[in-house]
Amino acid sequence: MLSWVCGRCRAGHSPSRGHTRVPPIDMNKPSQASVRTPQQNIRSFCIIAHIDHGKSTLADRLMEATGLLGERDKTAQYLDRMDIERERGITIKAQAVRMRYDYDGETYELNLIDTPGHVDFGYEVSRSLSACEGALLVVDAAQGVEAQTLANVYMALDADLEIIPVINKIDLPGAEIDRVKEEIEEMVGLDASSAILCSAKTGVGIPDVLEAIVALIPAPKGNVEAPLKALITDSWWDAYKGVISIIRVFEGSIRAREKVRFLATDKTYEVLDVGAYAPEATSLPEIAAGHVGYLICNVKEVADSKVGDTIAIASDETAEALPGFQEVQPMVFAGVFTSDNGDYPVLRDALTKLSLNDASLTWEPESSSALGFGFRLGFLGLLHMEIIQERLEREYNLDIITTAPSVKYRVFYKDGTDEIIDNPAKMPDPGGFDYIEEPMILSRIQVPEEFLGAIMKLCQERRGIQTDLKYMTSTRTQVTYELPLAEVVFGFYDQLKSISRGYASLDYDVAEYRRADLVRLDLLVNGERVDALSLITHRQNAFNRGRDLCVKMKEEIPQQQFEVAIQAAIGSKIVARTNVKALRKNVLAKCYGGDISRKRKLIEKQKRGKRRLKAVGNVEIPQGAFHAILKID
Amino acid sequence: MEGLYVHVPFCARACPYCNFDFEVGRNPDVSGFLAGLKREVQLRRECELLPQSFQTVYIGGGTPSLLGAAGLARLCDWISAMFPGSGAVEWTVEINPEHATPALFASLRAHGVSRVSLGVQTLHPHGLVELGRVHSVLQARNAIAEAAKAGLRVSADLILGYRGQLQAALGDDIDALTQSGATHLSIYALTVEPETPWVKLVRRGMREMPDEECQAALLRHAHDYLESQGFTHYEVASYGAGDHRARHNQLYWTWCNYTGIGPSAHSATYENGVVTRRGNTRGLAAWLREPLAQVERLAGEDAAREGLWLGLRQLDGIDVARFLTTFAQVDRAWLERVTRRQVDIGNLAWCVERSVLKVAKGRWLWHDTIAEDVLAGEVAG
Repeated sequence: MLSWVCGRCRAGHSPSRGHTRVPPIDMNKPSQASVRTPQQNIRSFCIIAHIDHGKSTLADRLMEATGLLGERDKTAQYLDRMDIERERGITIKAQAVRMRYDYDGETYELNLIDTPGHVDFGYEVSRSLSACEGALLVVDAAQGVEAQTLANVYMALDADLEIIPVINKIDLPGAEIDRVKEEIEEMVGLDASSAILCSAKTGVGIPDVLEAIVALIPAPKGNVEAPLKALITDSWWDAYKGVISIIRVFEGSIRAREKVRFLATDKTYEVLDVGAYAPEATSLPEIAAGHVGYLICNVKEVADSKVGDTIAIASDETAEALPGFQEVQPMVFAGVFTSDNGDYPVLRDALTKLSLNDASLTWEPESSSALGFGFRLGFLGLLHMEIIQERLEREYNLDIITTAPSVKYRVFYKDGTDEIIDNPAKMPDPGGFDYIEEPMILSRIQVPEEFLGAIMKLCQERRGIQTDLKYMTSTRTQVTYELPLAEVVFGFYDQLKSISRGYASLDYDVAEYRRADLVRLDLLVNGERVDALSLITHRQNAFNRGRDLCVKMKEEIPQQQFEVAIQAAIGSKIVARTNVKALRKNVLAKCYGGDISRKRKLIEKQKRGKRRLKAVGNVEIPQGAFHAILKID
Repeated sequence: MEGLYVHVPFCARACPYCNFDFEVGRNPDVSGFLAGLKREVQLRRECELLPQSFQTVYIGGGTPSLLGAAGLARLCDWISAMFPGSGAVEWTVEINPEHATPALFASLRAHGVSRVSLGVQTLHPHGLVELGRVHSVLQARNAIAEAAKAGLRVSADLILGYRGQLQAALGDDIDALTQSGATHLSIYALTVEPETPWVKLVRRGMREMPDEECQAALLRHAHDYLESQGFTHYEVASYGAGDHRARHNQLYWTWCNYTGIGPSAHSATYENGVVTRRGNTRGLAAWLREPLAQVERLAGEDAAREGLWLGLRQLDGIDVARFLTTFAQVDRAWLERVTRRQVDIGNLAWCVERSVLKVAKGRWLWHDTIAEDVLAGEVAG
């Protein structure tokens, strides 16, 4: 149950009585989205929050308080439409809802533009922010400010947004409001004395949040009469309507049947429909400067409606793009194969469908001698990779094998040419190239002081170079490292979390390519290279990696009728080896009294433990072995 | 051909590695047990077609010889009365060496028994202690000789791979058995079943889990030695001199019907490629209350896969024509497909112009690897 607490006297009286300024919900009013609002009454904002700090719950409360959501809709966090998002409590796809809010005799249009909440989606966040005039900075009253929040706050400050600090979860027993205020002041540099205290869970403080949005966030400016200029903040694919985009109109207006041009792709479309989500899609005659809404115009693929692209009227040939557009580049690559080769067409169809809705996912066919035919996928980051894996398994019921994640290496040859390689199996042997460059990141890790030593050790092991260390508060530090991206994609985040018992948070920017002494480490089984298990590592770590890999493989490969040699090699040089002893016999005692069923079940059980073996030469390697490579550090 | 198996669920003591169905006690209630058998047969005659007579009879356990000469005579007479003319091809009783006497063998012979299976297990005193057997080496050798003298065909069981067994002594053991008169040997590696006392003893350091490599060497050595002595390795765990085969056990591998009565006994019937398997209730008391427990029916490919696996236990291999007649639901192409991988890696071989499929020479040691593959229904790679 939502319990109302008056924003002025903080008493729990009913919102329909007393002196509250929050209007009661009137379900008989006409659709809220259809009411045209003057520009000075528009407030467009987003919510910046760390995962689990209550962004989605707060969004739901705001929608309830403005009459957009009834009790019935409360089960789901409305903005997170996909199952996976809901289960993980994270938001992948940004959306936007329009709320109507009556305040001081005026009716305001509040546009809440949702932003993705993970380190992999920094660019998308920046585009969503640039469609807003303000942001709610939501900080958990018990957890305090986290690195990811900070990164987004800096982005919001860069975009000149008005930032309203909101301290959430004040009902928690562990709430430390003063400490969190201090952190906001010290770490973010915002005046937190007037931070709004609320609990999205109980509803305390929600009217204050609404009041602050109206009072503090500036109204948009923009000439309605000027030629159209609109920004795409998000696009997704809908089975019935094709691509739907969320746009913010900065100048002019857009209406159905107009011809418009997308500047980055230079493609022209006829507008089929414009409208707003309130929270269901509602058609509108137009979207004018300052407003946020959706656009449908017969775009076939999400890749043609790029986040950050500018939309202009087709006839306006001199239209200039809004600043900040970037082509989204995948950073992390992995091979994806089906465990049953017969499922290959299903995987291809699934990827076709997924990429309709995800312009940042790239894929091309790949074949492996061990795993058969599959695809090499490019992801924005590790979370993106996990999400895609999970969706392939869950939504398309595929049993997939994913190879170890890799990054894009730049290989320079002695003849002066160079090549980008994102698949370790394709990396040339040592001596076959002049040198290799790898992508670096600049990472900011925030961690309580007590874990700092362990985190620094981890970063050093991962070939990190420390560039900065500062105390954000007396107990919280932020350490900055230059790290090779390849080291980070290999279980770094999990280790970071386990070393710091979950307290460390990580944020990164992609930095330049840097030369490094890298080698391809191969795994050989009875002399045959298992291409899907090749990896690229720094020469210094090659021996340890090779040994760990051999040990892991020995655990994974079952005994066969002959001895299996497992070797790790750099080129033709063996750096580690072990072997799996031959299985000398595999035969059960005789069957007494004709109890065939029991014996058959025993054998079938044994077999189930060894299902889906992949043959490399004459050696059978279980599927688990290909996952096990991910577990070595 | 059809066979009858009777499970006698009594043992004087438990062997630490065994989890077959038995009751421990020195004075089994023979009358109660016979009444139970009678009730089971009556019940089953009401609901299924039981044959009037069986070509083979096998009385196993447990320890059938714990019933004593008189008790066994009563059981044999009861069988002959219920199923007149049974046991004409082979009638086997399992006998523990400690119960063997000339009088017992004479009595068995007089009641229609033609073959005894002796639970020798080993001919080394420390081995007998390790395996928890109460007979002596001498008793075992005498038992074989007495049984042979009484005109019974003698099979002896040997367990390989307990702690301290010497490969070098194995040939002498086998010689001792055959010279005493055994013309059939069942040889298998010690298998420790979960939830048996052995597991606990290992934890206390009083036993060891068998070493696979050592067992494999012993099995191989026994095989080579027996073949050199003119024995035929005709089934994964069975060796026969001359034409001595365990005819009853062969029914299991050749898709023949058999009826098992007594606690935890199993039955099978084959009809039009469908296999029906019945399992009796485990435990004497429970079986006395309600003898029949479960029925399992296998049809289609599942039945054929099981038939393939069982048939391959016979090292002569499968007569493909007979297999395809018994399991008409599959064809030759199916058979070639499900066995292809094992043929490719050399575990199975086609012979006699591809009319026979059998386990390749020396590969019987990986019989379960073959079984896993043909039973699983998916080809690796």
